[in-house]
Amino acid sequence: MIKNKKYTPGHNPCLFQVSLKVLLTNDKKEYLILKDVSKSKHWKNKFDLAGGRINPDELKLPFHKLLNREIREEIGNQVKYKLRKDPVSLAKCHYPYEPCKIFILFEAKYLGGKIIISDEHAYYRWEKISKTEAKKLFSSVLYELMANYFSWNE
Amino acid sequence: MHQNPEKFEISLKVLIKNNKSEYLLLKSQPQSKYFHGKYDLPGGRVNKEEINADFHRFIDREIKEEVGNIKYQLRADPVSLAIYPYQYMGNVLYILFEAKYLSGRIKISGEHTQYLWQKIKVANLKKLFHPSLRKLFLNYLKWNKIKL
Repeated sequence: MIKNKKYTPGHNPCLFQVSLKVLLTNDKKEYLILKDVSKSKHWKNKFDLAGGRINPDELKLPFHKLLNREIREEIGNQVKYKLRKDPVSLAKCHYPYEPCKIFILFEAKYLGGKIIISDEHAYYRWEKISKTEAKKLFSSVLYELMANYFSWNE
Repeated sequence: MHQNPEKFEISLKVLIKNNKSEYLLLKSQPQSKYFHGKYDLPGGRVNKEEINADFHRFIDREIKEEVGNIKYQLRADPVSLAIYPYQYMGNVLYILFEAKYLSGRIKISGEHTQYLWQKIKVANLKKLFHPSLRKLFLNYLKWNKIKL
């Protein structure tokens, strides 16, 4: 990288992939985490949250519809939950050889129903998570998403 | 079938509210391609060199640039989102923050022509905002159960 390089602000916007994630909480204050099967460097052996990226045919859908679709795809049709409508956290990243990504976190209360995961994840777990544990469980960007969630919603 | 995920520019905006429940609006330049004749909110798009910038720092900087050296209290978590597919510019994802105005003189930048403290009614939204910011504002009202 060239040092002292001058940038003209406002003319170099990043193009982001947008991921909507949901933090599902049960009545024991545990969070639903999903074991990632991805083999890529930043995600390998880490946990994930339910959710996914916005596709080209979904631009006109309201956010809660988009989220409901993602939740159904990743944890099944039987789960009952109550979604809080406004977002609770954000994080962005630009890992080498990957596009810029932004993660938007929503919160939902788990009300019951069987969790059936997709083949994108190996297994699921309900887990009490502190900020320190989040660092071990998640990739750096999902850790940032959780850390912001903890500090923004105290 | 697997689709390639859509790509978006990200625009962070802030809604500044005073103690009379008025919102700070900035009049767009007449040559502004999409916003001419309409009002804007302080904020801006995330550039490549700002990818690692903290969200709150980013908002602080935009307020300083576009509104001047005012005192305010920023709510930490975002309050609204909206997607708008612009015909030439591409998709923009707007993320809205909220701040309470405390004190200080407002001094706008060359990006806008004037400012206004405005009480907003749903019926006025069409006149005040481009459809993108209108959607952002409507989601803000709905998601935070705010009655105007």
